[in-house]
Amino acid sequence: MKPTGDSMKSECVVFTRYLLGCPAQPYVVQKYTDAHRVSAVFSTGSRFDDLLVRVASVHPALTRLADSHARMFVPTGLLRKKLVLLLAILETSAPSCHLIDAVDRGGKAVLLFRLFVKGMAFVLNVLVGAVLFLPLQMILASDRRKTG
Amino acid sequence: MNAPIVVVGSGASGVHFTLSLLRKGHKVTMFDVGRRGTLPVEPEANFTELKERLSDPSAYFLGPNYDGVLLPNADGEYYGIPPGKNYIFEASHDFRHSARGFSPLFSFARGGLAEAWTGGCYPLNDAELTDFPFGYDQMRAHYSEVARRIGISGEVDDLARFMPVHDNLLPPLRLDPHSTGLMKLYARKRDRLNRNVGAYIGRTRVATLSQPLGSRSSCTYLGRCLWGCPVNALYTPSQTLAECLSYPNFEYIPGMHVDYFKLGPDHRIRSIVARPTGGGTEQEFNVERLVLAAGTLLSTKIVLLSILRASGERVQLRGLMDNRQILVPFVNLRMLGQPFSPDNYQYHLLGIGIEAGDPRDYVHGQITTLKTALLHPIIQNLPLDLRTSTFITRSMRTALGVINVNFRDDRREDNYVTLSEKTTEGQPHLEISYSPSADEPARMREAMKKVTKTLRMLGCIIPPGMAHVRPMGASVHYAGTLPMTEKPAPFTTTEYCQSRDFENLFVVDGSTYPFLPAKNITFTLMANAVRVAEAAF
Repeated sequence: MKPTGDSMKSECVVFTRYLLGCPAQPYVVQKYTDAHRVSAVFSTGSRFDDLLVRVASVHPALTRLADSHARMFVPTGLLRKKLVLLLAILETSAPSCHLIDAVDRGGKAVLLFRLFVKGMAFVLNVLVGAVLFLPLQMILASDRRKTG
Repeated sequence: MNAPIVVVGSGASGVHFTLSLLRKGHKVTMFDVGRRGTLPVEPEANFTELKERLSDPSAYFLGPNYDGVLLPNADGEYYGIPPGKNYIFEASHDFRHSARGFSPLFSFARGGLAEAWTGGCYPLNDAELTDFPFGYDQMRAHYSEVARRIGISGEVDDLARFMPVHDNLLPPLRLDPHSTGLMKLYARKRDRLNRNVGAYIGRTRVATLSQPLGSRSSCTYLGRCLWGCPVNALYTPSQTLAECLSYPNFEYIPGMHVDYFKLGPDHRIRSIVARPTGGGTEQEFNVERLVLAAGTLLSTKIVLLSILRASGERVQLRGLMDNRQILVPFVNLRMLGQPFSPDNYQYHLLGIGIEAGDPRDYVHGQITTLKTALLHPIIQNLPLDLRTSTFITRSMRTALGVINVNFRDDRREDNYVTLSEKTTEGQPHLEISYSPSADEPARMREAMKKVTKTLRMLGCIIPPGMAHVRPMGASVHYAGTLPMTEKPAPFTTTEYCQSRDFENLFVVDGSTYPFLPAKNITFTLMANAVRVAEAAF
């Protein structure tokens, strides 16, 4: 399914919120939309890819769930490509680049603690994501084999 | 003396060969495809300021077609070619090749492949020159001359045991905080590292100015090396080409792709045949003496095609070499959570030398601490979701670094370059076949053990599974197809790089290397080209 301009805009807004916790600037939305226009790489995927993108575009919490699942089970899929594209746009433009350049305050102990918490959250998201998405991934993959 | 000497190619060896000839009063005509890039933008802005000042910063960093985005599965690379440098590797529409075990890069750019180099300048020592028909003593003056021309910053330190010290070294560049920390720790653990591991760390010698030289400014530490130095402090061959253009006895003919040479009845080269790159018919130019400096693979193709056209024979030129490279990312635990500053030199400032029983097996690494860089390739390679990976990369940014470990290569009969039967627009495809030496895995394992041990002693860890063996061809240090030898043999060259098959042909690029040490070869290419120009013309 080819994304429309509106769906791409809302996708960009939700994904930016997920990646950096900030609103998407008009420039970022424009570049994100433009990339989809000039390169088919960001619009071409399997039925499961489309489903994962649709779920991820609903809310940043679902983006995180879908991304965690994608990292483990479809690392080169459409959702990861879209997120990496957006990350590249965000890090090459101001003011979002400052959020990527900034280092969190606190010593090494705080940093290690936060890393531990975030690591645990990732594991939890992978587990929940596996329960939700793996059956769908297998069903859609077997459908494709049958129809293909 | 009156007929111009014809040089093909404007890369590192071609321009220094030409400059030496021009200074001696020779007339030189250079044929070149000569693709050009764009001028640097905002020369006073650092990496971060550039993102604020440009009206379309993403187009600058990622390209209008977003080719600069390194998507998942980008072969494990940690950075890509910036869009502004795409012209360096842009393919020619009718140039085709096929390769087994080799991923070659070609350049048709003004200045050649070294327009995208990182400036490492490492003279070869006597052990590494064993297979060459000359030793370091015959090279020293030429290394010094090239250093005077291009400006090399460096220091005489522990790495000098592997790299002879020539004249005209400029003071070293300013170290970034991470590199400073590594050097301090090395100083404390130096004896143990030297004795137990055979590892030595010091300053890399780089063709970047720490002091002004001629019209070039010294490095302004803007962190923009990869995107093209905005003040020309980082040397590229196109700077020497500009100097050549100021000589009245120099003619530069860009936009011409030299395909082959024609022979006269005396088996001497009579002319070259070239095509305009914008389209058009072949043109023939008379030649008295021809000098190939198009880079190993392209010069080899000219020789192969010339033989094919003259005799119908499809020969194989054997002995192709390239440096195997392993990228080893590391995390310096002492640097965790340190703030990031874009005001640093971006490329490598430190090097690691690993001693071997046979000095020819020396392993050389360039240590680049992460300063300015696009982070999305690193972030997406971490085994976590992107939000968490972004947090980790942000916190670890100043603690990250990568060692580019280089391994030597030698000429082997089963690695060759030839022309295939396939053609595109009448041009035969170049065919390359390469397989690594049987002992390569063992050498790589041994070196990796030592690199890991060294990093551990310096308080750094290598994230599991992140070291990446680059495919053969990625280092772009190609050499060996027309080697210099003492004994005459077909498809070899004399000590002055004169062909033994065609008397008035000289080849001054990497084709004539009989051995490829683990060091970046560009500095030696330039010095050797100067040596040939001084001695044989």
